[in-house]
Amino acid sequence: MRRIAAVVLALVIVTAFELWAPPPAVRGQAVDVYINVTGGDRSRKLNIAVPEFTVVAGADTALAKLLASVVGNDLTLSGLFSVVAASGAIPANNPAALGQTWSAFAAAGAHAGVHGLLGIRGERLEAEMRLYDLTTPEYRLIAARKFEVAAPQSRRLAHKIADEIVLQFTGEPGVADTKLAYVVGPPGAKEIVVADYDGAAATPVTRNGSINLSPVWSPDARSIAFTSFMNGYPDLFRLFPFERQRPVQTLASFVGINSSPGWSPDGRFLALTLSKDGNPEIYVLTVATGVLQRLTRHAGIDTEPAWAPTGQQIAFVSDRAGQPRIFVMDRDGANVRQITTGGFHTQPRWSPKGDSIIYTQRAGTHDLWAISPSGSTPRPLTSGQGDNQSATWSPDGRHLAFQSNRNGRWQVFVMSVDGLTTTRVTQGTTEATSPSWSPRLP
Amino acid sequence: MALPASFHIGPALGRLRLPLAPALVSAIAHAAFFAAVIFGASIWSDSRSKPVYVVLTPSTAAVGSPRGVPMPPRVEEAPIPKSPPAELPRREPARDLPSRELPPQRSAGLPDRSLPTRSPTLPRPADKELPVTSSASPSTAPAPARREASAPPPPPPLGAPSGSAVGSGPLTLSVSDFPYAYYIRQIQQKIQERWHGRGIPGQQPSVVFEIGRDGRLNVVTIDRTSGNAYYDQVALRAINDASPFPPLPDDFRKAVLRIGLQFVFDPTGG
Repeated sequence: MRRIAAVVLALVIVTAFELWAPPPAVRGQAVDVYINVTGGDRSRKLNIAVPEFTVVAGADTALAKLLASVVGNDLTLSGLFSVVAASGAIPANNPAALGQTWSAFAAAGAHAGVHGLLGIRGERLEAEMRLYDLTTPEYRLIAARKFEVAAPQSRRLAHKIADEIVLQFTGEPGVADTKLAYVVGPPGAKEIVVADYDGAAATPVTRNGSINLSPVWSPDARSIAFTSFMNGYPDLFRLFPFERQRPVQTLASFVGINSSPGWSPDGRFLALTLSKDGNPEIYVLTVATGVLQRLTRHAGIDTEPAWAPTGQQIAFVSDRAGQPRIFVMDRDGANVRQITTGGFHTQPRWSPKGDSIIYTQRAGTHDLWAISPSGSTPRPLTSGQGDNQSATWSPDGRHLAFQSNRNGRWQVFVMSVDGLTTTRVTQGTTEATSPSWSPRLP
Repeated sequence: MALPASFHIGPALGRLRLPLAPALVSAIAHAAFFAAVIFGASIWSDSRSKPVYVVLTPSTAAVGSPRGVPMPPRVEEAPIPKSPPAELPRREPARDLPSRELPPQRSAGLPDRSLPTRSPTLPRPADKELPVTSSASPSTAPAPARREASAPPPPPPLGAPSGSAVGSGPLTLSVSDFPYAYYIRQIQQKIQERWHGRGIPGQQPSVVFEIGRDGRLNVVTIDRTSGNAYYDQVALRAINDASPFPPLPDDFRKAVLRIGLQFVFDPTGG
């Protein structure tokens, strides 16, 4: 009897406790922060201080200086930061000196500070990035991260740090650790070059003395598809810029034109233009098997296919309406619709987020325009500065690289899509055209 | 069967003892049960919806401007009807809030440990500067107190940017919870860029959402509806489109950051 009473009592207490204790969702109801969002606030840049890196192992103060300046330049190019000028390194293991440095930068208006610690160990370079919030009196640590690269890739160390800083402030990594492929050389010989996205460390990747055109990075950032006349005809090839011993692979060498490659987002297919059946039509090549699928059947020219990031649609150029215009079709060639009207439009490039298509409009000069994939709200991105064409999206969709002759000779420029900043990234010694922005490097 | 007129207790029943103790236990348990149910219900309903309505105009959340540049003028706070001081913080005791006495540098293995830090015994301006009324001038009130409070610590932070969360208006309510003005600013900016509900007069919704350590959006709920399902959806979409947010700062230790967000129709904004 007593045992039963005890069990009943225990049950009652347990039930009562469960009823009394609020469920977890309710328990966590108190908010940490309460903020308002109103319309009309213009984006402002964050002021960030990047003093010279502190060398903690090995000795290379020139490199410590270079890394800080590369990080600073990356942050400036991101369009999100204003870099506060700095000189002199912070001594290692000296909290007082670090605090004084941050005090001085805070007084100069910096909101955040980056302290880099560089270690040189034989063939390896290590860096620790410590990011501080200078708007708090304690200079709170926002994040500390370590990176490591092989010694010859020292600039990548800085790019990785810059991308991490962008991640810490925006939630999405930056695009500094990327490459640009583009075409250099006077008419008669055009070679493909790969450089850092900021134009530094340009390295030729073709040396065949022929004409090499329209490089396009594959989605895994390991290969570049391009058109070359190296065998006498415009054929389509693929090179592997980071594997020097690997030979160039032939992708398409049909009779007539083999040109304007466009990778599918998963890298398994290549849309391309072939004229083997008469006039230029768009096909899809399965890269692993070489199987071809024809998408367009029209008496007009159909060329320059560009995949949507979903892989379900392809934008292309066709002159079936008289002048070249931008069209969109489904992945299998069905459901063709025209999205631009009233002009001479080429070079469609679908944005990484899928919300916009960039194209080149010829009206006296060439200029870059953006339009929604449904064909609404076309708007100019460049105007009144020479010719601007051959755009390529940065992987985050916040920047474009393109070629412009605004300074005379064709050069590659990088601009933010909002149009606020435009920077020339090639050096100007020869013409530089037809850029392709790589995905983020692995 | 009719009952007999007189009731005779037989020998077996006579030996039976009434179960007094268990009956008593049962009675107490029942009383405790009902008391707990009633008490629990009151707690539950009390803790269910406790939104702290804080008016924060864009300039307040901005991380500040370089020295000498004045902060942009505050925008009118008219659109929020619910911010009389009487409704200000009825906060629960901070049981799951991070302790305020934690040293500022806790990242393991970092050599720099003695950055200038404020003595924990100092009154935080944040706790002192609750505006008396929501119309109190935010630019004048907090500034002097801030100087007083930050004068004693060893190396005074020279010219800390003016617009940080500390001591700048009503956001000070939450400073002890989440003192990262840059983070608030980034979130606010990201959502603002994607919110196309501006220009819509009338009440706007308020939303509660959670950000995980990696910056991913966890939970979004309408805390107070605008009364119009479309505007509620526009607000939710802005938050979804704005994600992912920055990763939570290393020094902030909670698993999630919980944010209450009031959308405001601001006729003066562009």
